[in-house]
Amino acid sequence: MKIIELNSVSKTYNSGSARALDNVSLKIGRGERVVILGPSGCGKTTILRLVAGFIAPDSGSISVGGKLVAKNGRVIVPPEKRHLGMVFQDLALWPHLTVKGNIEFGLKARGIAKAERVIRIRDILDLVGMADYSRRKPAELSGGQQQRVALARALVLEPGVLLMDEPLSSLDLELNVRLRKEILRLQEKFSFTLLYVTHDRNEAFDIATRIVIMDKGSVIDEKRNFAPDR
Amino acid sequence: MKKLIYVLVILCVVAAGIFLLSPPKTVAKKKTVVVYVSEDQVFSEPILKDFEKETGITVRAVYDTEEAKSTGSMNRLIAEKDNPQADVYWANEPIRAEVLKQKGISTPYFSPNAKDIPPMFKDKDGYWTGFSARARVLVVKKGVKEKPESIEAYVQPRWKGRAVIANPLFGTTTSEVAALFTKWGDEKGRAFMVALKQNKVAISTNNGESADFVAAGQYDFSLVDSDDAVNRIRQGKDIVMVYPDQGKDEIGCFIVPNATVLIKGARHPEAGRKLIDYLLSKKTEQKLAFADCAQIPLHPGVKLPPELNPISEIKAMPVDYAEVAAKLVEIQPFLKSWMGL
Amino acid sequence: MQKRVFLAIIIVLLLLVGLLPVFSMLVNSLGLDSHFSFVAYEGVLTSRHQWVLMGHSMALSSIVTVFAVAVGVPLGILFGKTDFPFRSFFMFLFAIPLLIPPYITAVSWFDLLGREGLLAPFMGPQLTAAAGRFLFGLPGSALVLFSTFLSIPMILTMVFLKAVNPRLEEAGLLASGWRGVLKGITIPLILPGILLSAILVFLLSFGEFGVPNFLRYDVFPVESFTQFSAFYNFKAATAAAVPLAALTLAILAGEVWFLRKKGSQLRPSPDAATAFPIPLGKYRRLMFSSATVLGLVLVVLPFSVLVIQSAGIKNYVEAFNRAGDSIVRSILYAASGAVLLTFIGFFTGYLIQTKAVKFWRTIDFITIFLFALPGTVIGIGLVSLWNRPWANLIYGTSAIIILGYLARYTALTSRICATRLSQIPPSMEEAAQVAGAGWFRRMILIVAPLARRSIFAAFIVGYIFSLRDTGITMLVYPAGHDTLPVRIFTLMANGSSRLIAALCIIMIAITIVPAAILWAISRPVAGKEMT
Repeated sequence: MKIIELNSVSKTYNSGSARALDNVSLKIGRGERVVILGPSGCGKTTILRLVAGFIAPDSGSISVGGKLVAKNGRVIVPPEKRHLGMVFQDLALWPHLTVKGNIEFGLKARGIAKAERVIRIRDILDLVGMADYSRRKPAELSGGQQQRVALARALVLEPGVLLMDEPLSSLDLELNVRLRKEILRLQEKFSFTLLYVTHDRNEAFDIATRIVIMDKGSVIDEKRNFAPDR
Repeated sequence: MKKLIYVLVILCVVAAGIFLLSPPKTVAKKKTVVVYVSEDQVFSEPILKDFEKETGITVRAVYDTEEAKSTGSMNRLIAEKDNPQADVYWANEPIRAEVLKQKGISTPYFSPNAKDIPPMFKDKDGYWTGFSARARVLVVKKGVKEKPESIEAYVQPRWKGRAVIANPLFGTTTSEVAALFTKWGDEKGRAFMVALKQNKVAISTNNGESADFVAAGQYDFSLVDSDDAVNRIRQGKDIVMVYPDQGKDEIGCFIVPNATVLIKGARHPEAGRKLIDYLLSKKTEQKLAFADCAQIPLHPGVKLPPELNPISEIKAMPVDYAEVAAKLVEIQPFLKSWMGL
Repeated sequence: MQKRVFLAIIIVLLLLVGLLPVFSMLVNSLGLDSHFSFVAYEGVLTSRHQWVLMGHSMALSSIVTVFAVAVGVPLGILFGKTDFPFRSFFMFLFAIPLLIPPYITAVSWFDLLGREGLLAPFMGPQLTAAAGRFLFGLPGSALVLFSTFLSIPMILTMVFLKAVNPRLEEAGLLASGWRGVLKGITIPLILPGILLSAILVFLLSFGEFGVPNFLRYDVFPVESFTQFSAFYNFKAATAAAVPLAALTLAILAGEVWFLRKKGSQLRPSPDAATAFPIPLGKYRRLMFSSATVLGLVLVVLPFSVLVIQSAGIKNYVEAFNRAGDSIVRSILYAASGAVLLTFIGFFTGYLIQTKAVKFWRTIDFITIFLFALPGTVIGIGLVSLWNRPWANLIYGTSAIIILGYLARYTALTSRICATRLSQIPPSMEEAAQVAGAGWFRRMILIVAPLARRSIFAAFIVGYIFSLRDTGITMLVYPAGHDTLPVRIFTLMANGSSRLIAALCIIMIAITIVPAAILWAISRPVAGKEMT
């Protein structure tokens, strides 16, 4: 069983305009690291948003974890019930909450008891090396630190799938490379399935076990990638 | 800390809700009367306060605003017809009382205190009863020789461009014009209005303003309410007050009494009648005569301030207020086009 | 699911509170209760006179809008973006006329310039007569409404400036001076705000009847008004208000068309608060003296009349004696109204901004339309709808006043919140959604705190407009439970001008003090939010 399945999915945003996705099918196995590579506007972010559940496919169906979550214009399982993790392009750290508050939010939403929350927050902050910053607000952190908090916020919920939407695009090259390694390290530790979107070939080759190349709303190529694991 | 704030906010909301939804506190136990008032609050409120003191009945009032005189009370009374909130309406002129009668909003009541009030100022079926009246008088600039003594002065060449009148679409002026139409007939009425225009009579927004114009010497005379005139005389302005058309064959001076109306289906009819009795008493008339509104008592033998003539000495224009009310609606289109609207 | 149900409740509430009363008036005006007819409409819509009045109203509103925007936007930039001295003081100064019913401002001007006004002895008869000619008619009406509504574009400009990413301006600064940046970058960026302020000013001046009536300039709402006041003809009065729906529609269509061409670029950067103020340099003195003169003429002069007339403890003692209870009630009603207005406005703003329902534009239209309607129509509608024995809990109590506020002013809070919400990246809510948070949790813990400043602003605006309302309040308040502005109006009829002046000053105080306190509280919070 595949953990993510897109079957002949099409999506158009405004009637009349070009299709954002045109009959795309994609199957991702458990533990895979799939990178969708393509120029901006090729539909790669649309795939992420479809998997996350923010939008519904006009036609075709989507399953996550073997469950049908969306089909033919209808969202069946809303994002908050899909148990995914996601790191946004703008990170979307909540500016009014501290680092701890950002991470704790999802734990509270899932009704996890206080004692366990404390432990899990401490552990994940240790893991991303942000233990000393738990009381800071996002605006008081550097770009790389914000990146780590965004990762921690997604991973603390121990999702089976992590969606990442060009998370490193705003960082300088050195930091970018360092964080790629970090992501790989964390993926090994938590063994989540990674669906990663970027326009950067180097990033793709560093991270992926499989690369899906897209253009103008269609998958034009797919290849396995034997990247060094760390 | 945050939780505390939330709790406080919720408490405030709940408290506000209870406060807003609690029926006016006086309703429950004490006796109450609800009155809608078109007479100026400055003059009517003290009377109602006295009533509260003397009877122990709480008065809850809705007053009219000057800006929108009567959009308040009258419209509410009409809109509330099916479930009346008011017990009594204190009208500042009988035309409105007539409208209420015609719309089936009022109910008859013959107050024992009304028996000495001349029949002309009462509805024969008891739907309204007049008291404390204004007379429609001329204010004339002091020093004007051969003062105008009739409203016909408005159309005399001698006064061309020298007179001012309040907008005849509103207030007592519109009532008086309608009254004149009922007395003279439509043809003469219209001719009078046309002549008025040809004689370059200025139009002001209201009677008070007309009186101010005359007091300031900008115009020689104006037709206003007696309270507007008395008021300015008491302030020492250089004007005199003339009751118009008092001659033997003349039509007399148009009188605008206040009127009490008992509302059909009132919730506190007992208290309502008591309030009406109170308003129709000599005592109230005297208070209103000495107050700044200087209204003329309709009961004989009420003490008067020096500026006022007793009603028995004024030749009143004999009109049927019901007829005036009907005429008023009828001539509106004419008056509007007359105003250039 | 939560979201759908809850937003549906909000919509239903809005329809029930606002639209239903108007709708019942409309049905009534068509004579549907007996037989269908357009009689009421024929009379109103076919008379040439109506269109003359419409022309007057258009002229007045257009003049007021053009001037208010032309002066208000520069003032907003001056106070919101430069090193202008005493900015906060000036902001409050220019906001004062908005806080009281404009009718009172008109009366103040009259007390100043009229025949027996304060200035008459200094001006001589000829100048006084000239001033009178100016005051009565289009120029006077426009002046009073201009001074009343000037602060709307000013404040909205300041609010929108805060949301401009300074990076965009800095990029422009490399190429040209501040002058070029303002013209080429900043002003185009805040155009939606300017447009919104223009719409609000236009509709507010259009619906204002008291001022033109007092200053003798015949405007369109006069017809609806006379149908009510002279004929008690509800049908014709409603018919007379119907062209306003067309007007509202036209205005909103214009806005949509105008904004479609420009995508909104307002995304505050994390460090927006650190933007540098524009140094005024040698213009500082000139700007300062211009603003001072403007403030003196528009605000200090007319309102000093109130201060002078009300001088003396005695007047205030009498004011409290005669209106103490109304003062307390006013504050409570306005505060409750503001809470509910903010609540409903936040969610309608949210659903308009996120297009959460297909007919979001209709919701926006409804709120704006209700805002544009004469208060009398809504007021009478509320009475005829709610005055039923089973609804005494609403109609017999002050709740009916609050319903009136909601019906009339939701447009304001809704637009304020929608504007701020448009600046919050959707990823904020989406991130919470992925983290497993249901809609309520997202709204309460993420969206609302991020929109905190606009919630404060909405509350203040809701409070101010509820407090100064007379049109609806005077038609629906339960007997004996009037508010301060209504009491001021009723006492104005032959009441002493000293008492009225004192009451007006109290009115200004109970508006400014709570609003200022709230503003002060909201500031540090909002500041932190963005740094």
